[in-house]
Parts: sequence; C-alpha cells; structure tokens
Amino acid sequence: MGIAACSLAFVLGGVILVSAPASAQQKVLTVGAATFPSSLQTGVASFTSESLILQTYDPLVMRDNEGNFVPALAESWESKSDTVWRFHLRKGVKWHDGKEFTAEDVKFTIDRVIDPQTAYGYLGRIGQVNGATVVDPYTVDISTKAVFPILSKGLADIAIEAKHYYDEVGVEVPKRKPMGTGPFIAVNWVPGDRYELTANKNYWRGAPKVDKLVIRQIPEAATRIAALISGEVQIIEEVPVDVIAEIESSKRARVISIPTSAAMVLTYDTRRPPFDNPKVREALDYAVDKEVIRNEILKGKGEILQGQLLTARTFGYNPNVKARPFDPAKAKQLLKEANFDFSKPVAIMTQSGKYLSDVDISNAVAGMLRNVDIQANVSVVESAVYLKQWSALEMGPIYMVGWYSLNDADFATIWYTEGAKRSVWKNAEYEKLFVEARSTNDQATRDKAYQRMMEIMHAENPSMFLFGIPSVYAASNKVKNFGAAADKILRLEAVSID
Amino acid sequence: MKRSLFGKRFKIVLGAGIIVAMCLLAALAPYLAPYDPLQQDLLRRLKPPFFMAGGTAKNLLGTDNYGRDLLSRLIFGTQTSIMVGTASMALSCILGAIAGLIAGYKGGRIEQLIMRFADAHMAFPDVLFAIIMAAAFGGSTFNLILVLGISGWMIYARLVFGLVRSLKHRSFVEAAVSYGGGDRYVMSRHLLPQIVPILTVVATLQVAQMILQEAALSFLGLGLPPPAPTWGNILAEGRDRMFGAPWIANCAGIAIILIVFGINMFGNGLREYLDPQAKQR
Amino acid sequence: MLKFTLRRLAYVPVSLLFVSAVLFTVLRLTGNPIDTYLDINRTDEQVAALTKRLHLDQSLPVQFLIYLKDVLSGDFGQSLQFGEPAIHVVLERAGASIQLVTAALLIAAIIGILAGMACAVFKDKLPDFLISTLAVAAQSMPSFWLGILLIQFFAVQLRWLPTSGRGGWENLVLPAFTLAAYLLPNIILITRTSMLETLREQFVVTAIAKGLSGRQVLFRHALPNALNPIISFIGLQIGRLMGGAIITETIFAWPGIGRLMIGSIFQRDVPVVIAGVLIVSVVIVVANLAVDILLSINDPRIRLD
Repeated sequence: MGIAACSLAFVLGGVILVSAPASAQQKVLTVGAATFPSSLQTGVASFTSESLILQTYDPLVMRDNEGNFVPALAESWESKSDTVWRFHLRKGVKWHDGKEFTAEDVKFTIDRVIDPQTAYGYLGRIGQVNGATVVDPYTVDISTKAVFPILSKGLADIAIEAKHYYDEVGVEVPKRKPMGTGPFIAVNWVPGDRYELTANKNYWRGAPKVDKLVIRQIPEAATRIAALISGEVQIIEEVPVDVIAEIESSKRARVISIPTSAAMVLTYDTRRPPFDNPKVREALDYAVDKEVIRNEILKGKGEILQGQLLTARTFGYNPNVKARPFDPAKAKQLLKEANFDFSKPVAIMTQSGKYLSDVDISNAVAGMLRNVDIQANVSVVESAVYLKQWSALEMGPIYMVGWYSLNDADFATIWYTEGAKRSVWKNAEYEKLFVEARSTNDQATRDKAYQRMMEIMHAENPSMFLFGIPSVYAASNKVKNFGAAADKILRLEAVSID
Repeated sequence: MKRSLFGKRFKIVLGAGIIVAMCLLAALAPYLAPYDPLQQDLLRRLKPPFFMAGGTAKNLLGTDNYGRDLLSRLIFGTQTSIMVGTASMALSCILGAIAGLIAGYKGGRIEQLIMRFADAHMAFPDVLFAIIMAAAFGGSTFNLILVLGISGWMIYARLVFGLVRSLKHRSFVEAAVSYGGGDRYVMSRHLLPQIVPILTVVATLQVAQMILQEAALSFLGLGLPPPAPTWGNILAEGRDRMFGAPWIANCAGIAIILIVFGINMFGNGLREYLDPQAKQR
Repeated sequence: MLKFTLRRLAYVPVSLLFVSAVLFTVLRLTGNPIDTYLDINRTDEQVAALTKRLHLDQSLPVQFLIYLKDVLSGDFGQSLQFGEPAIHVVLERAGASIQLVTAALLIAAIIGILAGMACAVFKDKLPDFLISTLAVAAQSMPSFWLGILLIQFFAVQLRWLPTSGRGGWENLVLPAFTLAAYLLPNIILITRTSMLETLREQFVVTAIAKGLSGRQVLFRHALPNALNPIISFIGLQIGRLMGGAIITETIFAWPGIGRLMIGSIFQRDVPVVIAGVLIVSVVIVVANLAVDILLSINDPRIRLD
C-alpha cells in the first residue's frame, strides 16, 4: 500500500509541474475551431475549409464580417457585354514568396476551377463561367456562358492561387503548404490538430497585429470552452447557446455573435399526403411558436424569418411579407378543414450539430406539433445518410436544412427550382421569375423578381421558415477588434491581444 | 477461516441490492416518475436541482434543455438502459456460447473456422465496429441491441470453447458419448451445465460493459434517437452544457456509475464465490 | 507460443479481406461518396468525372474487385477528403494514437500492479476494499464524462495541465489517465488474484522462511511470477484500448487515428477507413507478438518454438 501511495504521489507530483509560458516577445493568437477541413486544398465547399484557406489566400472580391462585398485583389470591375466582365487588378500585391501577383495567376485559377477533373467544390458559385483571358498584367476578362449577374459575388469564394507555385511544386504540395497573398503565411499544418501561421508583414491591407496565429481543432464544445476559460486559446468558434451566460460571468471572456445569412427551414414532402395539402402546411406554420424557440433555445440570438426564405439583410428580401403569428387554435381549425389524419406519426429528419442547436430546435418544433395533436418525432441521421437520401429526394415528410444566401437571393432561391434537383415543391411562376432574375444585370429588376418569389413562398409554404441562424463566437477579454463573421470566416488581421 | 466484512459476501449483497433497486425503479417507472419524461416546457428549461441555488421542489433534479423533468427522464432511462444492456448481453451470450460449443465439441475444420474468426474479430476494436454499423444502419432499439450484441460474441465463444475442450475428455462426457448420446444431447445435458456458472459471471459483468457502450455510442450521436430518455442520451445532451448546467450530465453520470458499479460488484463477488480455486482457500 | 501467434498471424490477411469486403459494402450501400464529397453546388460534369474515377458506374462487387486489385499492388487508393494517398493519411495519425495508448498502458500497468499488490497484501481488509471499490467505481464511469470532469478540475480549476491538444508530455497526462481508467480496475483485480495464488506457492513460503524481508519477497519472488496473467490480459485488451481511444481523442482534441476513422466513416471515405483498420490490426498483432515475447522472457518455461 505504501508503495502504491508513493508511486501515486510520484505520478501526481510530476503532473503538478507546469510548462514554461511561451515567449512574451511574440504575440501569439490561438483560435479554437470546432471542425477542421481534412487538408488545405482550395475549393472544398465548406465554411470551415474556406475559413482556413482565406488566412493565406485572397479572392478577387471579398466579403466583410457583415457580408458586404468589397474589392480585394480586384480593385474594380465592369461589364464589357452581357457575358464578359472586366476586372482591374490591384497593383503591387506580392505572393508570400515575394513574386508579383498578376493577371496570369487569375487566369490560371479560373482555368483550374472550371476543369471538372479538379473537382473544385465551389465551382457552382461561378458555374456559368467558361473562361478567362489576360488583357494586360493587371487586367483580366472573365466570360460566362449566359448572363450571370452574381459573378462578382460568387468570386468571393474563389481563392486566387499562384501559377508559378503550382509550376514549381505541382498540385500536391499546396494542399499542405499553401502559398498565397493573404494576411498570414502557412508554417505548419498538422491535420486534425493545428495550423500554425506567421504574420505576412507585407500584406496589402496592412500587416496583422499579431506575430503568430495558431488555429487548433477542438471538436468537443465543453473542451473548447475549457480551453478559452483557462486561457489556452483566445477565440473559440461555435459556442453552444446555453453556456453564453457562464462565459460572460467568467469575466475572462465575452460572447460575440452575428446573424448569418443562413435560413433554417423545415421542408415538407409536398408530393405526398398530408403535406401535399397547402392548408396542412399553413396550419403547421401557425402551430409553432418561433418567438419562444428563439428566446429560449437561441437565447435571443439570430432572427425569426419573416415568412420567407431570405434573411432581412439579404438582397431580394421582401419587407412586406411577415411571419405568421403563433395561433394554435387557428392551426387546429385549419387541420380540421384539411381533414388531417392525426393518427400517423410525422418524422422530422435532421442532422446533429450541422446547424446551431439543430436537434434542439427540431425537438422543440416536434413538441409544439404534439400540442396541436400531430404526432411528430425527430429522427437524427448521420450526414452521409442524410445526403444520400437528399439526392434521392427521399427525406420523409419533414426535414431540416439551412440555406445560405450569402447576401444575394440567387444563392438560396435556386434550391427551390426544378433544375437544382433539391426541391419536390414546384411552382411555374417561381421558376419563371428565377430565370428572369438570373438573366439580367439590372439590379432593380432582379430585386422585384425575388420579392415576388418571396410572396409565392409565403403563400405556398414549401417549407416552414424558422430562423436566420446566428454564428456565435467567444473571445478572451484580452482580444481587441475581433468581430463575428456572418459567413463564419475568421478575419483576424485587425485583431490584437494585450 | 475467518469471515471478513469486506469479502465476496459483502460484494454480492451490495451489488444485488443496487441491481434489485434499479430493476424496481425500471418496473415502477410510470408510477414513480413525477412527470411525463417527454413533456417539454421551453419556458422552464435548464432549471437547477433543488439543492442548488435557484432550484425548486417542483423539479427535484432540475430540468433539461427542453424543460423536461430530469428525475422523470432518469427514472424512465433505467428501463431503456437495463433493457438494452441485458438484451444485447443475451444476444452475444447466445451467439458466442453456440459458436464456442460447436467449435469445442466438433473440433477440426469447424473449430478452426469459428475460432479464427473470433480471433480476427477480437483484433478489431469493437467500438469501431459498433460505430460503423450504427452509422450505417441508424439508431433504433433493435439496431442498437444487434450492434452491441454482435460486437461481444467472441468473448463467450473463446470462453466456452476453452471450457468445452478441457471438459471433452473428462470421463463423464466420454461415457455419455460411448453410450450413444447424440451431439446435441451431450452438449446440452453434460457440457452446458458445467459452463453455466462461469458464463453467468462473465455475462453479468458484460451487462455493465453494454450500458457503458450504449453511453459511448450516444456520445458519438449513434445511440437511440432522441427524445428517448436513455442515460447515454441524457449524458450526451448534458455534456455541451457542462459549464452552464452541469447537473444534467452529472446526474446521468452518477446513475450510470451506480448501476455499473452494482453490476460489477455483484459479478466480481460471484466470481470469487464460484471460482473453485478460490474456494479451496 | 510464438508459433501459435505466428499461426494466428497467417489468418490476419484472410480476416482483413473479409472485414474490408464488409466495410466496403456497408459504407458504399449507406452513403454515396459523390454526395459526401461534392457539395450541392456540384455540376453534372463533376459528378460524371468522380463517378468515373471511383468506378461508381460499376456494380458493387466489381468496384470491390477493382479496389482489391489496387490494394494488392500496394495502392490503398486516394482519400477523397484529403486528396492524398489513404495509407499516408492514416500513418501520419497512427503515431499520436500509439503514443496515447502506450502511455495509458504504462499508467494502468504501473498503478494497477502496485495497487493490486496492496490489495493482495491486505486481503479482505479495509485497504483492499477501498482500492477495489474505487477501482470498480472508476471503471463504471463513462469515459467521456470522466474526461470532461478531469478537464474541468485539473485544467480549468487548478490550471495544472492543458485542456487538450497534442504537445509536450503535459498534454498527454489527462487523456492517458482517462484511457487508463478503462484498464486499471481489471489489472488491479488480476494482480490481486494472481498475487494471492503466488504467495501461497512453495517457493515463496520458503523464501519467507529463509528470512527474506516482506518487500524482497514481494518484488523479487512473488511479482515476477504473478506478472504473466497481467501481461496476457494487456495483450488481449489492446484492441479495446484502441477503440476506447476514439472517444478519448475526441474529448481531448488528440489528433489520433480514432478521430480520423470516425470522420472518415461519416464521410464515407472508404480507402481511409480500410487503411485505418489495416493499420490498427497490424498494431494489435504486433502488440500481441510483443506480449508473447515478454511472457517467454518472464517465464522461461514458455518457449518460443
């Protein structure tokens, strides 16, 4: 026993030693991310990937934290014809290896993106592009197959890569050691663990305020919060809503959140009873108390969708359409009129952790549907199963999904058209308006078309429109100038630490 | 030999006491639980238990993230956890015992086939296997029991195989064979009774393993689909709220510890009691 | 003994083949790599290109045979999510897992053996009861809950250790202890039993009669003889430990093979899953070989023929 106690004391004694603090000279910013991409290859269509990619790369046009589009590597652009756009590039921008950024790099990137063999995930963002031509070293023309009014917005997700770097190292090396024009320079990438970068002192928007950036993957929310409170990391992503109060009361960190452009909706199978009946769909909308869910489950973060797919700040939003009020009596009455069969249980399919509080919200909705005598249950499925059933358009009666509009109605409304192969609901006028909005560069015409589409959706209820999802971060009180991003991309060049 | 207060007798009594109490709780859940375990009340969510600041006697152990009564959910969770644990144990016990009996008794090529397969399965992390199956086929009580049951069969197969092989050449078995006892007769009348005691111990301990395994799968989101009140689900739902509402995960954790502890105590006591070598001393 | 292990080794490729076929079928049937890899913005050309590359237009058995042919020529295929050879992806992560599992094994073995000896010495007395009760209680804790509690206490309250991540030895302590809690109680119980048996054997009784001190008897004579069941037990548990590491790795953000496998299963990245299973099996087989060799060194009666 004595021996055991001694050895235990020895082991625990060893534990007590604390590692030496990092050099005080260097300002190191450490971020705790929830998910990591598998590699640093460009074009993987996920925000977690893009968030890391854009530390080392810049696009031609970029979004800011609020989702506004601002010039980046392109200083300005204009349309030359219906299908050709001219981009004037920023002069004097240097790649991390010191070489000059030119139009050749833009052409190289566009060619790479549109080659199907590249399997570039974000190709759909600029799907209508069919090529780029170099006009002079600082001017490039991008041509499209048809009129494509959202080209400049779509380009915000296309990181511009260096032609000479690919020529030198091939296509494999950049997946681990990316080299771009961005605010930070890649140093070390350890998959599943950490991404270490140093500041790009020559960054064209000004050098970052910290010397080193470390982004660590901490998948477990409880661990992420522990790392923030213990001071190991200064910023964390994906904060569960229920711990906001505790983080704020810790006096060490604060919560920063912003509504995103993602609309969380519950989509019905409108082909089959009971949801082929518009009355039933309308009834469900009255049966769910969105205000209570927002206040209690989302702790007042995020916005209630106003009876339409688009969030209030999105281009195409219709201010005259309003969310239906919570009215269970009316819901019951409508259900009665529709001759709704109450005996069959209705499944709500959702993934877990894909969107903020997704399972919680699904369960809360199911609970509210039970109050109007609809037997609803929640079926949580794993992502691959979800995606497979989704492509087959067999999602059961109701499923949860979030549509990102990225501040232009086109990106979200397309998913309710026939061509996108994601919607079982069909509406001829909606289809017509979508094509109309896409085939003109005139913003006023486009806006009008989208607003009418919102009215149609409100009347028809192809989905129950729930919330504009917030993105929730927490940052140590030592961190200054950090802003939550509506598109979940870390923008850290202005961030400083005391 | 001097009786000791902390010997096997104590373990068996303590363990059995806990197990019986839990089974009673499960059986009487509808009468004991103060509320419907599925009834949500979003305006009363994350209320702390009565012994913490802000808690009331209305919800003795507080409420969860949908305002459901935690005590009621834990009481109903006893049903699911015990059921899943026992059923999956029974499945792997039956599968394993049959495989082991056949392999040990028949020998030859069949033995090679079954036992090498068991070896291979042994060298494959069972959690990983359960994860792949659960991810692929989704969560339902039936699937969960199937997955857990299949992932544990080889322990029994090896155990039974070893015992059968050592028993096969003992005189009473040979006698039964020479009197013309058929395979099935010899297996069920002479071999099985010899194996049952040890099998009981291993099976008891495995129920505890299965309950923990269920919790592990729930952690990965592969357990029973919500809103089923299993302890694993409650624990998994509580873990994101360990900072804000620690009582959810902690109450479920303590419930799991309690039953697994009881089962382990009982199993270990039983082992000491049944082990013939230990008896000699 | 070694011969026995080597014979078992011969079955490894066969069982791996079987396991791969099952995995391949299950993963392909329940998820389509096109859906998990290409996002909904994909174009028809991209779908066509990937379908061709992965031979998804062929029947499932044909797909498996094509995959098998590549594997036999040493190519485990390209990981879809990583865009790199699957075997490379897996090997990169294997080190972290082996480090974690080894540390957990050492902790469990050292503490478990010492505590088990204490139990044997104080058989059926209070220390025995306390240690074995505590051990059973530790074993009864779901490991992810234990992990979070350890983080809250040692990293957030006391600030002695980092919460997570891989780095110096101090990062290893909490995950290794969490994983060790899996094995520790069994090692204590086995040590206790086998020590009790050994302490009754003739040579130990003789040693005591010769007047050797209690500690000498315990460590010089009794322990080496009690060690074999413990080593065999550890050998059998390595597979379970690798499995348990999946959860420990997630909690502590440890970049090991377990988390990689989980992610790859969800992504239906079949080459990585199969390469991962292969590597894990190899680790387990090698560990079992090592156990056999250890056993024979400790007890010369077991020969390696």
